[in-house]
Amino acid sequence: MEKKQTDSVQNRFTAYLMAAVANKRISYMEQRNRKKEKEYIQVDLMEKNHVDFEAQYHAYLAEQSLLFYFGDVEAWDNMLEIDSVQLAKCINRLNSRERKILFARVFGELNFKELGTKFGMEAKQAEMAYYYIIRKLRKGMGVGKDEF
Amino acid sequence: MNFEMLLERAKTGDKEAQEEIFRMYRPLLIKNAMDRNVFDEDLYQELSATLLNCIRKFRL
Repeated sequence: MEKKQTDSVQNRFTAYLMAAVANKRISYMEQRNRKKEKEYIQVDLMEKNHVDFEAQYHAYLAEQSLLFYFGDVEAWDNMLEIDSVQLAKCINRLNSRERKILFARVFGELNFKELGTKFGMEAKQAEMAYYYIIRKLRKGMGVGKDEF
Repeated sequence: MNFEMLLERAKTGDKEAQEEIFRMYRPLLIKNAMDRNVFDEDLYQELSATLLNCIRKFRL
């Protein structure tokens, strides 16, 4: 009888302990996963923090020129493709209409007729406007005709 | 000595009784401290602490 009772106590204790251990194990695993996730995020941030400054500068220029001047988010990606800081600066100095023409021609790949229709002028005028912008950029870049 | 008495002694803080219970339940703790077939030392420590906690809190 006494043996039976002590067995029952032992069984109850074992069941109690098993439940407690299982709960502890789950909470430990969850905590560890959270910690790991946190570490991954921190590593990500660290990688993002030590960028090359040129990339950051481009992003900044793009932001300034696109959002400040005409708030056109469409051309955002185009600006990021420009890999020369000086060119980005020159484009930044163009006025909004000139920039739109340039992006439409270069990234939008429109021909002069389409360009003219889009900006309300003749194809010839659009061509002249485009080459005027290119000349302006060349001048800004300080290079000769053949180099650009 | 039966388990009930052992547990009573362990509850009062008897180190020997606690060790005896710890020896009995060690395999259970080790089994639960395995993570993908790798023994996790920290988890084992936590589970050992849980066992001592259970001894304290278990109502006879």
